[in-house]
Amino acid sequence: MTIKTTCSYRLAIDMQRHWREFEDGIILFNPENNDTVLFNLVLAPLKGAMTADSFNADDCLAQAVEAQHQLILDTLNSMEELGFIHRIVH
Amino acid sequence: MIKGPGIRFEIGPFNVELKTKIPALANNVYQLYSHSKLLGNNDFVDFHISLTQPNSIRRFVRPQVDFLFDQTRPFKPLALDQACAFFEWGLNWAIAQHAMQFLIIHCAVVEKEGRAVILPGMPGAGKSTLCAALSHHGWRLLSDEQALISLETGLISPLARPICLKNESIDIIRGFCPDAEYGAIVRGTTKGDLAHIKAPTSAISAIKQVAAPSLIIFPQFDNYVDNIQVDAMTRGIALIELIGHCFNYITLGDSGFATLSDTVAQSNCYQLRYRDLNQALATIEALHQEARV
Amino acid sequence: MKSVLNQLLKNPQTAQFLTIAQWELVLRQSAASKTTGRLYYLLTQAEVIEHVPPRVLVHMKTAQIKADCQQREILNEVNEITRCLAVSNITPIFLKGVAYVIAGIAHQGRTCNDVDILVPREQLDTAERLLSKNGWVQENLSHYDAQYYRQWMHELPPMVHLERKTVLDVHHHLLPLTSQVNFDISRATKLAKQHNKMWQGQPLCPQTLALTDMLLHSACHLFCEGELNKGLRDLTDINIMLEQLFGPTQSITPHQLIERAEILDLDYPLMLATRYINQILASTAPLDLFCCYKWRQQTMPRHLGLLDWCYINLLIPHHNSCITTKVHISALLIFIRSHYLRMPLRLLIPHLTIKWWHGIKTTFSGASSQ
Repeated sequence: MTIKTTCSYRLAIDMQRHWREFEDGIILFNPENNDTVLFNLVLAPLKGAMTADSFNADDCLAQAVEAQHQLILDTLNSMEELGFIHRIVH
Repeated sequence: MIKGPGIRFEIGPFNVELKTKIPALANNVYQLYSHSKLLGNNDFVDFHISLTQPNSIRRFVRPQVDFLFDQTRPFKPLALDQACAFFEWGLNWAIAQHAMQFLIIHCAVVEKEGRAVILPGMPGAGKSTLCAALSHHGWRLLSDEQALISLETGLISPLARPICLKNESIDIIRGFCPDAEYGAIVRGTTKGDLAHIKAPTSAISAIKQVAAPSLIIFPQFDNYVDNIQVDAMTRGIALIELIGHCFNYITLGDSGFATLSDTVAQSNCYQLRYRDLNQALATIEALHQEARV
Repeated sequence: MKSVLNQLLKNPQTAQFLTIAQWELVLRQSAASKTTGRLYYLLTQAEVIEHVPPRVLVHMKTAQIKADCQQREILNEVNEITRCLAVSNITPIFLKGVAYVIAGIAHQGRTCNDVDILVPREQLDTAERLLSKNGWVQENLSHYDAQYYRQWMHELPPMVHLERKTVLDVHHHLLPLTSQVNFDISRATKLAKQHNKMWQGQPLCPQTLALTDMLLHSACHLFCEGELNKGLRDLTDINIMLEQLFGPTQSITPHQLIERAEILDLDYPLMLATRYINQILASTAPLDLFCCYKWRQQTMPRHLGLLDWCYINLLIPHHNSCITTKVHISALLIFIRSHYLRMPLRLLIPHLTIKWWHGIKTTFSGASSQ
C-alpha cells in the first residue's frame, strides 16, 4: 500500500484530542485500537492541510521543501497503514 | 477487631476494609499501617478485602491463604506464610482495576516542594530501593508502586503505603535508612524474599496533599557502571516508553492519552544508570533543582 | 437483608433517601450482579444521578469506563470474525451482548464474557475450519462435554482465540436440539438486520437479529437457562429493548410483538419476562397486555405460582447480603427446570449423573478456585 498522489485522504482522528506535538515529534493516538505512534516532526506543518475534509499528497508536499518530500511521503504511508488517515473511496 | 467485623482504614484516596483471622497478617497490618487513619463503621468503604484460609484439606495440609475481593476470588490461593505479601499484591490489583478516575502508572513516585518525581521501572530496575532511600532522605513518599494521576486535575494523589523491598535491597536499606521500620520478612515467594517497610509518618500525615508531575526518571540499577550516567530523554520517546508502564492506558482510551500527554509535557525526562545510591540521590536532587527554575 | 439494589431499580427516586451505608451495599450488590455500569445509565436516565454521593459515583463511572473500553474491543472482534468467515461467504449473525453493541441498544454500561454468533447448520463445519485457521482453538473440555455440545446443544464447543483470548460460541440455533420449545431458525434469520458501521476506515456491515427477535431470544435465554447470576442484568436488557420498541419512535404495536412471539413459539418466555419486569423494575413499556397473558384470555399455567416464587427469589443480586435458604431452594428448582426444558428425561438423568460424578472428582483433586 503506497501513498497515491492521485488519491484523496481524510484524517481518521480528532486533531484536537488525538494529536500532540513534542520537541522530538508528533504523537498520534488512534481511539479505535489505542495505537500511539511517534511521527517525525516533518508532520507538524502539514496540520493545516490535514484539517480539510479531504486532502491529497500534493497538498502536503506543498507545505515543505523538496528535500523533505520523500520523508513526507513515507510518513503519509505509515499513517495510512496504521489507520490514522483513510483513503477516500468514491 | 480485624478478626471480627474487620478493620477499616484509609489508604490515600481509598477506604479499605480488611478482615482476616490469620495472626501474622493481622500483626503485620497493625504495625505497618499504625499511623493510617482508622475509619468508623459508618464510613464508606471502597474495597472489601479478606484473607482467609480455605475450607478444604488445604487448611491443614500445606496450608494456603485465599484473597477475597468482596465475594470474588481473583487469584489462586498462595501458601499461608505469604499472607502479608498477598495482601499488598491484592491491594495493588484492586487499585489498578477499580480506580478509573486516575491514570495509573507502575512506578515509584516521591515529592518535594510540591513537585513529583516519577520513577518508572521494570522489575529489577531498583525503583523500590531508590524510593525507600529517597523517602528517608528529605523526599515525601507518594507511592512505591503506583502513581495515581487524576484525569480531572492532572495531579498525583498519594497512597503512602508500605514500601516493598526484595532480596538484597532488604539489607541495603537497613543500612542506608537506619530509622526505617520493617514488617515481617516473607521468604520463598515467586519474587524471592520480601519485606515491607512502613511509610514515614510525615508521608501519612500529608496523605491528602497532591503534587504536580515535574520529573520523569527511568532508573536502572547497574552493578557494573562506575560513575552515574544521566541521559536526557526527549518527551515523545518518554511518552511512548511510559505507555508500557501504565496499568490502565488501554482502558481509559482518549482520557488516558490526554492525561499521559499532559504529564509528559510538563516534565523533564531522563534515564539514570547508577550503582551507588548516594550518587543517585544527589543526581535526582540536582535534576529537581534544575526543574524548579 | 433485602436487596437495596432491587429497591433502587424498582424506584430510582429512592436514590434521594439512601444513606452512605446503603449506597455501599448497592455497589457491592451491583458488582455481584454485573449491573454497576447499567445502574449508572438507569439513574442518569431517571435524572437522579445528582443524588449519588461522589465516592459512590466514582465506582459507577469506573464501571462505565470499563464497559466503553470493552465495546471498542468488541467492534474489533466483530471485524476480525466477519472477515475470517467472509472467505467462504459465511455471514454470521451476532447475538446477545455483542449484538447489543452493534445495534446500539441495551449495551449501555454492559459487559460481555464472550462473543456469540449464529451460522446456518450446514455451514458449521466450514466455519469451524476457517476459525481454526485464524487462531481460534477449542477450549479444554472433557470428551463427554465436547460430545454433549456437538450432539445435543445448539452450538459448537466454545472456542478461544490464542492471542486475543476472546471466547467465541458458534450457534446454529437459538435453542438446544433437544429442547421442548423449538422453532424453524430460518424464521428468525430471514429477518436479520444489517447495520452500517465503519471500522479502521472500512465499511463493516455486521448482522444481528431484528430487535423483536433479540428481545425474544433474551427472554428465552433468561427463562430457559439454569444459572441466574446475571438474571437481573438480563432483565434490564429486555426492559430497555421493550422501552425502545414502544417508546417515542414506536416501530410496532404490542399485538405485532405477540404475533412474532407466537411464530417463534416464544410467547411464554415473553410473558414471564414482562411479568417479572412489571414486578421488579421501573418501566415505561406497556406491560399489562403481556405480563398476564391477557391477549390469550385464558387461565394462567398451573405451576405459575411456583415459578413466580422461584424467580422473584432469584432475580436479585447473587451477593452474600441477599442469599437466603429460599434463594438456594429456588436456584435448585430452576436448575432442574432448565435441564428438563433442554432435554427429555431419558437423556437428562444419565447426563446429570455423569456431571455429578465429574463434579465429585474435581472436588477431590483439590483443584484451586478461579
